[in-house]
Amino acid sequence: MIEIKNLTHNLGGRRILDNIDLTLPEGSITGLVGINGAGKTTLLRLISGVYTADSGEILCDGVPISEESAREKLFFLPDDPYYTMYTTGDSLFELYRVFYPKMDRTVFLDYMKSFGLKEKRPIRNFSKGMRRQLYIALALSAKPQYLLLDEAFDGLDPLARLAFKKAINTAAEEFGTSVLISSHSLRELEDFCDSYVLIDKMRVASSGDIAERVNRLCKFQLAFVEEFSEDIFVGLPVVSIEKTGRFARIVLEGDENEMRERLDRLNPTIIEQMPMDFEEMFIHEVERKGYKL
Amino acid sequence: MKTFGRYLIYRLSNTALRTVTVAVLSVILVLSSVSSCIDNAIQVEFRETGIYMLALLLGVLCTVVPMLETAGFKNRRNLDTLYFFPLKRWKMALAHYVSGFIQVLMIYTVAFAAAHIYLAVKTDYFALYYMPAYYFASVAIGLAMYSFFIFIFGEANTETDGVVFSVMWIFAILLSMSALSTCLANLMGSKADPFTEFIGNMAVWGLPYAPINNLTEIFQNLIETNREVSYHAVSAARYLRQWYMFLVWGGIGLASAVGYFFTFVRKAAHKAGEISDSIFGYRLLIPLYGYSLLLMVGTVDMLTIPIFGAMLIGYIIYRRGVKLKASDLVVTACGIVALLVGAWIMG
Repeated sequence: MIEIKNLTHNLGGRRILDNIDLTLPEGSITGLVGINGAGKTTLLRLISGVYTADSGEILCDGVPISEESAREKLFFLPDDPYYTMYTTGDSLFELYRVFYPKMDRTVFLDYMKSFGLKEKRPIRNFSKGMRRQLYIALALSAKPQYLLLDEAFDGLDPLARLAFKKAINTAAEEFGTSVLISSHSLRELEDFCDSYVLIDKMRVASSGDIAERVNRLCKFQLAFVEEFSEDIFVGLPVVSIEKTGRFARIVLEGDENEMRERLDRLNPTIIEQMPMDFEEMFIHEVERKGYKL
Repeated sequence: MKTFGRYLIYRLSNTALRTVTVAVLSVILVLSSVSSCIDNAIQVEFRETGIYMLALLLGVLCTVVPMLETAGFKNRRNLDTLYFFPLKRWKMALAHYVSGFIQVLMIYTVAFAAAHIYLAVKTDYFALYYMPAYYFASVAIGLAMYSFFIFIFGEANTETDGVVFSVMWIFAILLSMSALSTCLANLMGSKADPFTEFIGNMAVWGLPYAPINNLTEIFQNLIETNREVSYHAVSAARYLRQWYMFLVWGGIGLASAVGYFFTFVRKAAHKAGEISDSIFGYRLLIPLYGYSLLLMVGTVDMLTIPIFGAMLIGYIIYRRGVKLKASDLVVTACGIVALLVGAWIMG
């Protein structure tokens, strides 16, 4: 389990994260979300030990992250990882094996093969997506207890995304790997993450189970006989309203059956429930925080 | 084997090709120097060993290898990978410090052995039994030089700034001591002679390559016994009088090594690629160079304008743009005081 307690960090005199408290349970796949510049990458760098926190502590199974024994359990895949002119998949494997002696070459080669990559080819000739696949193969062959991924879907084509998600699920199921993954691709995260952490204004704005959080919101499309005022919704737990003439699209927070009953009382001519997803939930969350979208 | 040991071996094997290539080139360079010294002299008495090329080689290696060994830490992208590895920061610093010096040592040892064997085979008039002592003494001095340059390079946040700092530090002490010596000589006349001689020596010793140069001079005089006895006895004595310079540079080497580890462990990863604001960098070097030159010019005329211009260009390079800080302009303007003092002293 990774525990983050009262974590505060500044960069260049500007506060980036303020008093963050967070727990990442074992075996979970957690999506780290937030608008650009929210501090997601900084948080991942702090957890992985790349940055040293100004205050607060990060514990990996009770051991401070500054300790080698704690970091041995972690694998961080940054947005734009290290390579040189002459780096090949093989040479990277050798570098990572220095620090992760239990790295499994068979697993690495299997993933390389499934991604259609040659381990002896210089990676300067790879596209961004291919490089990302290579690093994913490295990460998974290290079989870490905790896997931290920054902008994991960046540059991956739909097939590679599918292969990647499958690989992450396998790692979580077979090796019990806990995954913390930052991405702007919320629909992808929703597919395979069981929980989320939303970073906003330097703090954890909300976190928890994705399905539970999404189910707490319900979206309806309504039509009325005549033009109406938004005041008719006063008293309802409204998250957002889009009104066009006699039509309205409304997002409410609460039990869907109860919300439907309450809307029925307003006598709409049509009432239709629409599906909610994680991305919409995210948009409503950040709108509620005062961002204009 | 522990992670540190594995990483050190990885570093050495990763740089093996480069080390072997440079070693081969070094052997060619040193042997051509040694053979030309022996073969081109008309008389045995004028023949030299040519081992100054070993000193030159060691100087170059101790300047360049630290840069190559630690350049990767100036790139934020690299740090994202290198710093998450489960190896404490000081151990990573130690691995690169040791790996770099082993590379220096391997290249230097091969070149040294080649020179020694060549001299042993081709000549019988040199006191080559001094060679092992020269080797060990030069390696010790090499370690101090290496520590100095790895520290200076480590103070920069970019590779370019690191190279600039290293080059500027080569002449920094020489320049400042020369300025002081010139001022004292003009201010006190002949009364300043004892001071100016001492400061003049310090100016030359201030070159990071002075210890290896002096050591080589000493050993050349001991080894080249084919020369006149009085000549090499006097020369050796002259250089031995400066023995305390070795102590000073030993101290600088030790302090530099400590400074390197301190900076490596303490420097935040996000600083990589940013403006290099170390006190051992532009902040000190620009005024030191500017004021020293202004003091030495000693007249208030058009000649000084390029010096002020160079200081401003230095700050523009430091800040990476023309938007300078008020402190930069104040420091440059204070150069007028140095100029006036210099003009007053020089009369």
